[in-house]
Amino acid sequence: MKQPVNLSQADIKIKEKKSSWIIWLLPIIALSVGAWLIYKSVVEADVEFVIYFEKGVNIVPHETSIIYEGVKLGVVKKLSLTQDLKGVEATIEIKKGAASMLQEDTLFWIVEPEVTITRVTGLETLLSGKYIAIDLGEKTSELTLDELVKLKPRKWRYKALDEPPLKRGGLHLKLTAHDAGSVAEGAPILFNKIKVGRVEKVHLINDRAVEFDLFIEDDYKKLVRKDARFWDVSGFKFQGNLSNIEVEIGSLSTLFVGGIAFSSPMRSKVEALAEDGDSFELFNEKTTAFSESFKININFKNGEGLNVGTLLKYNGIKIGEVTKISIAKNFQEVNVTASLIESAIGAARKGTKYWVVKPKLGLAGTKNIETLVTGRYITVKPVAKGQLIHNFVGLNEPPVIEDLVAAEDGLRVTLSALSLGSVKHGVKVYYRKVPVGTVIGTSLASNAKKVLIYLLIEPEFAPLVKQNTRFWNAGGVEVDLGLLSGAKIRTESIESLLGGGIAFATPDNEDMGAKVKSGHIFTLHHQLEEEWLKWSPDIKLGN
Amino acid sequence: MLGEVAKTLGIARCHYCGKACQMPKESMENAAACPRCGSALHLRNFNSLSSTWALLITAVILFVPANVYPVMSVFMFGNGMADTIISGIIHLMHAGQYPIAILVFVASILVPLFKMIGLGALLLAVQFGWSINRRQAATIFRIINFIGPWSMLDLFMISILVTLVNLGFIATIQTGPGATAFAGVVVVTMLAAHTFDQRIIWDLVEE
Repeated sequence: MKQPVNLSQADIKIKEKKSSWIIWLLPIIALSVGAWLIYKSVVEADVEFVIYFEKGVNIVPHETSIIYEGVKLGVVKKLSLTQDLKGVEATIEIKKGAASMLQEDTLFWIVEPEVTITRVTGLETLLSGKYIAIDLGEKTSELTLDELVKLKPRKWRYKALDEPPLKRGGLHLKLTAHDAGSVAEGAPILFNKIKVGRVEKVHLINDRAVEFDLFIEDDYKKLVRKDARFWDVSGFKFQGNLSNIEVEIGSLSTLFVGGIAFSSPMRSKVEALAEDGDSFELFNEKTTAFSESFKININFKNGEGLNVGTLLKYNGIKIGEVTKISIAKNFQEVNVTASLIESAIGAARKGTKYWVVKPKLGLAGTKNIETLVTGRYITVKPVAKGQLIHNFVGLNEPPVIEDLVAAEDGLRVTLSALSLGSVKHGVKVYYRKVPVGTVIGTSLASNAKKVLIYLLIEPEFAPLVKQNTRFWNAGGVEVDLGLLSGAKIRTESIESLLGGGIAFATPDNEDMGAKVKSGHIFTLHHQLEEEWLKWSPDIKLGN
Repeated sequence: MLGEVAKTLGIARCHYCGKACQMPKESMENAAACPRCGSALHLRNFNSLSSTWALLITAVILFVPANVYPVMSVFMFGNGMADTIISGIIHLMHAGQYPIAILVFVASILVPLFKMIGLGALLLAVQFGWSINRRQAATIFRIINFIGPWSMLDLFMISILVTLVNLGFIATIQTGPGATAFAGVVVVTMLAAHTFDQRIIWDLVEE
């Protein structure tokens, strides 16, 4: 063995002595951090509770989350069937901080993807799977944050809702209608064609009425007043007649899922806003929605050709619509209920006459031919003043002369005849074979001795009628057969040949007599005298 | 022969340049420095035992949260799934990934455990003067030193996954508090192995 070599001596360097206790800080820190973690996990331990689901809901333990406003609060820990095998109980772990949400009225429901034409919701669940949504109940959600934080969890077993609860905030209304039409759940509620809400639910109330639950967004709830009118804008409306065709489409989405529009009447004085739970009627279309303002009943002897939807027109403009037709209890009349549009309320004054306009294809003239296409309609002769009333008696024929005095210009004369012959309402009155007026009515004289025929001579031709004017029945063909004179066939016109007519002549100037006023009565001669045809007075026509 | 160690001869070897030096008298032992490179010389590292104890205890403490808390959370389509080390291994086994499961088990459970138990046993033996097989003890210590960094395997995997799998909503991986604790365990055990002056082993009584 070798002797140890001489080793060099170590240097001596005096230096401060390192303290050895610093290293012991490490375990102390580790311990205190660990203790703090343990304390935290105890204090913030997840809270467990149970949600009961009635139907199979495809919940996956450890994956299905509880989500509130997009924030994950917990997860399903365990899933088990209830003892009766009818439902599923999910044990949920929720963060302690969120445990104050577990109040009596807290709501739970499953969020699934929903893709409809109007909206796509829960799309995220397509990838992430369903989740359980949680929301505070009505009472709890009214609390302030401070109050909420202080709450202790109160309930540990819940029953999940079948479907998402109605949104809070905004306005919840109900609409009733006879049928759901094509308005589906999710259909938009439109105001001036802007979507302000949607149909939450459609359900039957009983076997003849449907109820819609509407939700109006919070921002728009001031648009709904107490007197708002709602109408269906579903699909497209096709309205047309010979002169114009109108196609109305609310919006593309309403074409598929329907839609409901609303607004308040233009001159509405109602300021009050609709409140939650208010109920309204759903109308089929806008016009009916607003024509509700005045309802009238008209009793007709004969309801032929009248339908629900038959229009009320004045001077060709729609003023209302028949909403109901029924037979009177005594089977003598037909009760027609019509609603007048707001601006035509004047047509409900006392004294207004209603009658049905029907097509007339007569030899004396074709009238109202448009009604062949549009159907019959009810027209009205309004009066300028009067009280508004609801019940009227309808005429089946246009009103006769007395009623028209005020309405039309021209000279009105009455003819008395022994019989009516072929004269009837509407036949023309000729002067030198020029039509100058019409028969506007016929009636039996009050003593029944004669027939009265009312003529209206157009104002331009009124001066032609003088006191000595002779009227004769010009209907048909007049054939004079004489051995010496040969045959003479006379007729006023083809029209009068077929449909009858009245002609008149006035004597030459010196014999014509004075001017006549409306109401003058002449005799209707059955036959003319040759002499009359030779008269040729010089009369200045009116206007 | 084995009983004759450098310490009894008063010879210390410089940790850095390897020069063997004759140590001064005992009273001046703590002030010795290498005459060649000037670094401190110790016959036995100063405070080695107590530091190692402190670090080992820290490691044991950290080992608890490292296994209790999730090390990694995988978010797929917004749904998170947090895994602790053990649950991760179980998942891998269920998925049939046995080699990886074994690898993770060895790197994350066995190795740290072995290190802590090994170091603990050595320390106890030193502390209480147990008689042991010194060569075996040295082997254990060398193994501990060698496998120390390999526990980092898990952490490397996690850090790579976190950076690679970052597809936002579709898939994201996040580290959990367990990973931090686990990294602490690895680092602290390595430090403990480092502060442990293996020359102490030679002071022990041979069996």
